[in-house]
Amino acid sequence: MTSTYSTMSRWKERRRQVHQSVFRTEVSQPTPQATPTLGFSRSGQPFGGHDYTAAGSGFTSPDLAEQRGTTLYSPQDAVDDQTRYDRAWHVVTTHIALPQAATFQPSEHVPADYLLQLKGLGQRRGRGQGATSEGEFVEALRLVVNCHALLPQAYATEDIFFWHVQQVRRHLSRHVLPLLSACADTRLSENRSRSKVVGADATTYNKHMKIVLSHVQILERAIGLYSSRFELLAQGLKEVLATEKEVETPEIHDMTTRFQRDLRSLVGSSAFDHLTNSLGAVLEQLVGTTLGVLSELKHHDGSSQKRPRIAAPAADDPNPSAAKQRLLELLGPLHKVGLTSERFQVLFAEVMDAIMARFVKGAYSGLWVVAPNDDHGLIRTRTAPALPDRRAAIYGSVSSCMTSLFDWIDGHYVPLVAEVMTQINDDGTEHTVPLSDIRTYRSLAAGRLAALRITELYDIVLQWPKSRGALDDLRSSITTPQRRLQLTDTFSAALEKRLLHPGRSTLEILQTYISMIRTFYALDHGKVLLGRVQPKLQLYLCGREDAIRTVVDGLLATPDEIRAVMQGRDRQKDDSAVRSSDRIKGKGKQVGPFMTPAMPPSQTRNVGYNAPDHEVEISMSNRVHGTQEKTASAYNKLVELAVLLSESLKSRDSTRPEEEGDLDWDDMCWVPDPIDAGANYRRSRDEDVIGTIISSLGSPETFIREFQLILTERLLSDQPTFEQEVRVLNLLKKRFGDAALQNCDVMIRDIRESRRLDTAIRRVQALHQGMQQLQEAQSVTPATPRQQFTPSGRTRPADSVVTRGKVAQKGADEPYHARILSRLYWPNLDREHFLLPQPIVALQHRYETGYEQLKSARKLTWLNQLGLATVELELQDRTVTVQCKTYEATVIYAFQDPAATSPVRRTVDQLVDQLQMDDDLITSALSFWVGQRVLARRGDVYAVLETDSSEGAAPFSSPTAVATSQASVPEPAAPAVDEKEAAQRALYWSYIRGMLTNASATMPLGQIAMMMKMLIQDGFPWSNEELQEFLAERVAEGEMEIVGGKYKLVKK
Amino acid sequence: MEDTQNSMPGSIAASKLSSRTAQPGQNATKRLQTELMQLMTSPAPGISAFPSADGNLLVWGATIEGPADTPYDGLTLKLSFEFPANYPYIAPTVLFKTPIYHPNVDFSGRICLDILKDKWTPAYNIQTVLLSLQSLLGEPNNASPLNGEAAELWDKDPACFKAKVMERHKDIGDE
Repeated sequence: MTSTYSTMSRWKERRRQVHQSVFRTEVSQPTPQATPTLGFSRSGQPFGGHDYTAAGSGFTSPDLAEQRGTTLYSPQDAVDDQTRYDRAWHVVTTHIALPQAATFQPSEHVPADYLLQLKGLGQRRGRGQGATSEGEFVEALRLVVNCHALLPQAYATEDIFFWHVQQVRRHLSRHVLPLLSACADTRLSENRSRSKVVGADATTYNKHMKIVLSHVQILERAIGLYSSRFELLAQGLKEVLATEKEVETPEIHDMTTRFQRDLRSLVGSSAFDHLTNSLGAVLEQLVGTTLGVLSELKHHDGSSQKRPRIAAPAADDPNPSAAKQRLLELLGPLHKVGLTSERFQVLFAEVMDAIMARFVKGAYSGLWVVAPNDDHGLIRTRTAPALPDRRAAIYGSVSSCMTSLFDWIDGHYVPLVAEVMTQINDDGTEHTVPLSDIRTYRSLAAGRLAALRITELYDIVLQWPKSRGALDDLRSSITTPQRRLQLTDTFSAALEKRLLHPGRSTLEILQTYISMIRTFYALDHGKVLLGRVQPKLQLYLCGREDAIRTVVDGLLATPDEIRAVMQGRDRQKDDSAVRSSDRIKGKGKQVGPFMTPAMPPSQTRNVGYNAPDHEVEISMSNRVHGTQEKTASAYNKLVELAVLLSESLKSRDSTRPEEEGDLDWDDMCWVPDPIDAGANYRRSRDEDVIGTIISSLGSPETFIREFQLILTERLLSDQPTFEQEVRVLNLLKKRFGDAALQNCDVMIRDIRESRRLDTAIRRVQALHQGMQQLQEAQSVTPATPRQQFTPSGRTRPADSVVTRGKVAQKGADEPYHARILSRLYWPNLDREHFLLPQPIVALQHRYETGYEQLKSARKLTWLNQLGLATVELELQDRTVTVQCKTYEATVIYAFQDPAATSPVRRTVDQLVDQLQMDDDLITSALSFWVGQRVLARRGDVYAVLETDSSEGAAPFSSPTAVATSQASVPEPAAPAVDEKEAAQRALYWSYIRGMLTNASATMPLGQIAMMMKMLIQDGFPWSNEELQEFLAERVAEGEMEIVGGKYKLVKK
Repeated sequence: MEDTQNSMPGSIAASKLSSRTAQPGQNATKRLQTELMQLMTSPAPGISAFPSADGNLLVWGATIEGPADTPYDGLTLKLSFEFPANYPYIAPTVLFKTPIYHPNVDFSGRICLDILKDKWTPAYNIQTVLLSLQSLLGEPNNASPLNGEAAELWDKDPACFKAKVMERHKDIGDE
């Protein structure tokens, strides 16, 4: 009965033989073994006899055998009985023997041939049947089954049913399984590489489907074969039973079911290995299509980029229902051949899990706002609430995405599970998914959605407030500390990677910070999460020097600046919207990541337009050359803060007072503190974006100092009102206390007071009359610049009152104004010395006198460089009116020469002598006038451009010269910083000098740095490298020298 | 406007208030730090002072340039300051480290100056002490000399005094 095998089968055969030699599974001989080795013989039995109690399996019992064979027991009988039994056994086993597919050689067969092979199996069966006649078989079976009664002396008997099972097992492993593995192997080896992308490729799916189907067919045939043999056996047994009543056999029905069950589990466990891959692929494809995940399969044309968003299948879509039909059809045969065992269920569960993951990712990634009338069936029931009120936010309204996801679970996922389980149920009853399972599915899905949102959180923040919908998803799912931790960790990492690097401007960082505060507040009213993600950001912001200035500038942004910025951003947005809509159109379907916001438009786009009540205050600036820059720079302002500020002021009345204590018994929205709140946790009542930002910018002192500087700039500008400044000041007072901001208060009051004083003084002194005289005096000189001009100044008297002149802007009737500042309360305003034009000095004197009359014992110190002047220049061919700084006006005044017949020329050195002005200021003023095309430069000489013709200009200034000179005009804020820096360096230098003079004449770098750090009260911010650089400069200047690695002052 | 200006407590008054209540030990250090800052931001010509190199704020070194039109013109005179823990309530101990020939300074550098003895008040500081010493160089108090010979020569023979000064003077090297 050994056959020819291929090498592989031969190896298997060898292995089988080894196995059998140990476990004795070879029971296929027609005759039972002569010398069974099972156990010891019992008393009353021949030596070496078969212990049938051990192998009896219920057919016979020792008692019965003894009854039967009590009298007629002899060795001769025994031999006869045994021979008869052996013959009967042979007849029976031959009759039901399975055919041997001896010629089968898997390696030589292409998969299409295996069905022929199966047919061969079937034919052989017919031949096997013909070997013995029906009557002979029944007779023999009678002997075999009832051997203890009929052949009491037969000592070696066996269970024929057991034998059949063994035969089936052997056949399966030797013939069917190689067949299966062969067809699976050949199929898969063709496209192993492509089988990775299961589901994306229809041909792969088809191949896998063929493999599954062929498996099912082979197994169906094999099982049919096995069952038919069993049927023969059962049939014979039935006939035996019909004639012999006293034979005790188990119920045939029981045996049949047991056989069926064994067979199924045998097939299920042995044949499944070859099928796992293919069945998994097929299931994934079918389930995916059914659940709407793989809808793109039908129009698969290689253009995978234009795939629409995954959505739950619509009810009338034929594709999913067809797939479902196909799946259920497939399950029937699978179940029949025993391929729906536990391992199938595990596989199915895996597939379902993967499908859920893909659905969540595909359907909801980037989908943060869902339109109520969503056209592809994602959302049917609820839409996101327009503005989650406090209560809804706290209790976590179920978001639209979550709702649709749950709809999908309930409407598609669970029913599919139920139907599949019904199909593979053994008893054929309908399977209902328990409620707890549904709940598990839901929580699994919600968890996946949360994980998705967590990875998207940084982008969600960037898109705020359009991304509000996404937060609803997140809020309801971040309930455990672990998940909250995961959220903060992920976000911190994203923040560091994408925002906190030198490539980002401070403005961008602050804008993101604002969105972050609002997003996280919407996410978690307790701000615990925000508290965990912001330290890194705050630390980083502290390193940005312009952070405070950006914030304060933003706070002080005027309504028209806000509007300009918003319009600018809208324009940008429109541009990008056009671009993206083009892209969407190309797609053919209007499904973008962001659809129409669910909230009313006013909520999202109001920012620029919601301040109509301030428009009254707006006065357009008349500065000719300033307007352009102003709008341009306004783009770079953090106007969000100003908007927030005005909003918070408006809504203040409606909200409850903040100082109410922690226990508000009437608060129906009360929720306990978050689980992961720290020990010092304090509940905050509202978003408080401004407060959070301000408090994260380092110490209050630094902030206030910076605020004071900016306030100074603004108060000294020509701004007519200071509403916004006062509002910001009040806000800051609430935060830092009145005392800390007293200086600012005084500053604002100074400016208001100056107006009153100014009017009074001018009335007393009748300044404008004097001014008119002055004008008359000056207008005699037509060929040279004529100036109507008033600078500003300040006094520094013993009584600490400081005044500052302000130039008239509005006409000849009110030409000279001053602003009087209280010296103690303003940040140090340095006094630049230069000589004002004589008429102005005269005016200043009269103003001073007027002031001293009003306020006795006080004197004015003029801060000449801070003023503004309106200059009217009458040139030969034109009149130029410019508003400029006083030093600029002074410089151009120096070009006035009534006697001159040709254009007046001056050099910088001349002007330095004449005006006693710093040459930096002179240069920048000259550049200004060159930019205004009033002066022209040739070499070191500047001359008045009396005619603005291009020929006249050409010899003096080429356009490039103008451009460069304009570029060199220093920013107003820059000198202040430089001065501060310079003052600091001077201070450090005097420390170092004092140290090397008195402490020790020579010192190494490290010791100098150490001493500086120890001795300077405000701290010494330089690193050793910076200090070294500084000292190296001094060495280069010849003030120090290095001797033996130590620094030393050079003796003079 | 005037009211706010006048009612606002000045910084001097505030510091006085706090100095009365503060602990003496810490107070001395703090005071010396402030004085150092003052010396550095508004230095007086011809004098300078700085804490010792070992970082002890209670020991300082100081330098006085000899004033013009005095016998000490062009000389650099080093001094040492030692401050008690309850400075400024007690005067610092001031010594000339550079050998100096002067009526009010003995040969070990001790100085006879009233504000360093019984006339000391906390209102004095390092700068005022140094300025006083600087002026003492030009106008010695010959009524109570520590160096009688010098007091005598100051009036009788300025040339000899000058020679003695130059003879005594020795630029001390760096430690």
